[in-house]
Amino acid sequence: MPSPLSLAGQVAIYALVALALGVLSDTPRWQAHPEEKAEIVLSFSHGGGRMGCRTLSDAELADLAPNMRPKNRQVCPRERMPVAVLLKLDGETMVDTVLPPSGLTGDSPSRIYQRLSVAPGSYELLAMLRDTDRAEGYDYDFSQSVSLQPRQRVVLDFRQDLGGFVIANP
Amino acid sequence: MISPRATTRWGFAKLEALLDTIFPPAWNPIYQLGGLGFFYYWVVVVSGIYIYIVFDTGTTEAYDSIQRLTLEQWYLGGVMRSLHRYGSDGMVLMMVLHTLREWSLGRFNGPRWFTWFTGTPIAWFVIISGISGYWLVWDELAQYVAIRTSEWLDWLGIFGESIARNFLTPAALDDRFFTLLIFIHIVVPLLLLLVLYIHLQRLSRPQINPNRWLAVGTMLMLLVLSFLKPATSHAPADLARVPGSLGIDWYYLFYLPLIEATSPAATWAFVMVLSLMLMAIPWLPPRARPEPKATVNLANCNGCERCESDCPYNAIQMWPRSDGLPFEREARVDAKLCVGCGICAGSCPTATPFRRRSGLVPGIDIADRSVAELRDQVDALALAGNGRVMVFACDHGAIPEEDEATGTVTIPCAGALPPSFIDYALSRNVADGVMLAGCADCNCHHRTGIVWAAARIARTRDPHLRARVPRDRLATVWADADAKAKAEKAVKAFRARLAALPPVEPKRAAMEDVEAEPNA
Repeated sequence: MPSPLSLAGQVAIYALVALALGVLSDTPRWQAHPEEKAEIVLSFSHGGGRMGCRTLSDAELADLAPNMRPKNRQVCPRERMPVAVLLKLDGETMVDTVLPPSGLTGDSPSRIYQRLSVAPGSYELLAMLRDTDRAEGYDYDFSQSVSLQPRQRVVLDFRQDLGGFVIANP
Repeated sequence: MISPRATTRWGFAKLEALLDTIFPPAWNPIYQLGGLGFFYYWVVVVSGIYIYIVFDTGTTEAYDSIQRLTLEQWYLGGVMRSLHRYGSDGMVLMMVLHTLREWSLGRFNGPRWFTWFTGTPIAWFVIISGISGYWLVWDELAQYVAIRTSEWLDWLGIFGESIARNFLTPAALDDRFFTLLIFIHIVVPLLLLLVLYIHLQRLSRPQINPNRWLAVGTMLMLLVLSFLKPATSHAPADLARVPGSLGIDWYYLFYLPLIEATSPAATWAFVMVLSLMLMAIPWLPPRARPEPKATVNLANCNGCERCESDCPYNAIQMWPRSDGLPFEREARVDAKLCVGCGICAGSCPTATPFRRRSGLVPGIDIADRSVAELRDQVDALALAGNGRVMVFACDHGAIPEEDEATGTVTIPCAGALPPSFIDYALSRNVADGVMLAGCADCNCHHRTGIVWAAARIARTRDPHLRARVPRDRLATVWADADAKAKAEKAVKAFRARLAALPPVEPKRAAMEDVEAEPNA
C-alpha cells in the first residue's frame, strides 16, 4: 500500500496532467478575427467562354454525320478563356485580377476564394466580371450598398444560372 | 556540443527518477505512455458511442443535440462529452511524450525502425479524427475550423471544387454533409486502430494496457476534470458572422494559428517536413552501429522454444527440423528483427558455463558477445578482500564502479544472463555474492529483460536458477544508467549483508562440471 506521502504525490501528478488537459483544451483563447472588423468573401467557380471557336463552313457541316452537326455551327477547342474580376469598395479597388482556367488542359472553371477584412460602415460595392474575349469592359457588373457591422460576413458569389453576381448577408 | 537527444534523455531520466519516488514502478505512468495512449483511445471510443446515439446530423440539429446532451444531461451526457474531449487530448499528450521518450532512448535504430516509422501515420490519424470531431458540434469554433481547414485543403488544388465554398452560406451547406463528417469521424479512428495494430507487429507482448491502478487513477482524473470543467460549445455557427475570440483545443487545432501566422503553403511545408523528418529519423546520421545478431547453433538446439517465447521482438520463429536430429523443431533468427539483446541466449538451457568437455556453444548465442566470452570474463575476475561482489551489469542500466572487491561483467541485457552463471560464479568461488544489475524496474531497455531475469531467479520461468544457489548471496538492483549512486549503494548494502554470512566454502569445481546435452 503506498504511503500517504506517495499518494499525495500521485494526486499531484494526476492534477498536473488534468491541468495540462483542461487548460490547453481551450486556453489561451485565439482571436480568429478582429472583433472590430467585418469580412467580405469573394468566391466563385465560373468557366469562361471557349477559346478559339470558329464557324463551320457548309462543306464541313455536310461532312459531319447529322447527329454530330452543332446547331450553332460552332466548333471549339477545350480551352476556356480566363475570367477577369474587379471588386471595388467606395471606388477603392480591392480585387483586380485575371483568373486562368483550372485543369491540366485549361478546360475547367476559373476559381477565386478571397477573404477581405474591412472596417465596419456603409460602402458602395461594385463588382465586375469578364468571361469573353472582349478587349475592353466587362460582361457582368453588379453594384450594391452594403452596411457592414463588426464581424459581419458578406459573401459575393457569381452564379451564371442566376444571372450574375449574388450577394449573401449584405 | 549539447545533443538535443541527450538533453531530452536527461530530462526524461530526471522525470522518471522523480516519478519512481512517487509511484510504485508498476504504476509509473512514464513507463507506460503507449499503454496510456491506448487507454485514452478506449475512453474516447466508449464516450463516442454514447454521444453518437444522441447526435443528430443536420445544420441546426447537430448543435441542438449536443447542447441537449451537455446541458440537460450534464451528469451523464455532459460527462461523456467531456471524457470524449479530454480523452482525445490525453491521447495526443501521451503520443507526443511517448514519441519524445522513445526518440531520446534511441528506440528507432536497427530493426526498431518499423515501429518508429509506423508511429508517424498514427499522429495523422489521431489529428484528423480530432479535427473532424470539432466540425461536428457546428458551433462558432466548428465554423472556424471547417472554413480554415477547407481553405487549407483547397490550397493543395487536388480537389475538383473548392471545399471552402461549402461554407459560403447556410444554403450551400447540406444536412448530408454532417452525415459524411460523422462517417469520417468514425472511419478514421477505426483506421487508426488498424495502424496501431501494424505499429505493434514487431513487438512480442506489447503493453497495450496500462497497469490497472494507473488506469483507475487516470479514469478518476478524467472524471474529476469532466465535472470541474465540462466541455461546452461556443455560440451556434452563423455563416453570416465571422467567429471572433475562440477557445481552441491546442492539442488538435494548433495548425490554425500557424496558417494565420504564416500561410497555407508554409503550414503544409511544416507538416510535411516534420512528418518526413520523423519518419526518416532511423536513417539520419548519426547512425547507431549495427547490433550483433543472434545466431542458432543447430547441433546444440533442441527446439525447446524458450528463446522464441522470451524474445521481445518476435525475431525468433520455430521451424520444422532441417538437420535430421531427433527433434521436432528448430529455432531460426530473423536478422532483420533481431536487436542483439541476448535474451534468447539467457533463455537457452544449453547456455551453461559448467560445460567443459565440449566448447561452450549454446543453441543460440549473440555473435559478438557470446556466452563463452562471458564465461571467460567471469573466470578472469580476481577479486580480493571480504565481501567480494561480482556484478553482472546490463549495458543500459547503472554500472557500479569496480574496485578490489567488486568486479563487473557487462551484458547486453539483464535477461541475457543465463541463470546458471550465478551458480557458476558462486560455486567457483569467484565472489562471495553475485549481483544482477539492470534497467529501472518496469523500464527495461529491451522491454522484458528484467522481468524474465527476475522470474528465472524466482524459478517461475525457465530456465530456473538452481535451488542450491544460496539466495542470500544473490542480489538484484534495477536502476537506470544515470542512477549509478543507487547501484553503488546497493553494492555497499549487499557487501554488508555478505559480511554477516559465514565464509564461502569453495566447491570442488571439477565435480560440478557437467556436459549439458541439447536434449537435457
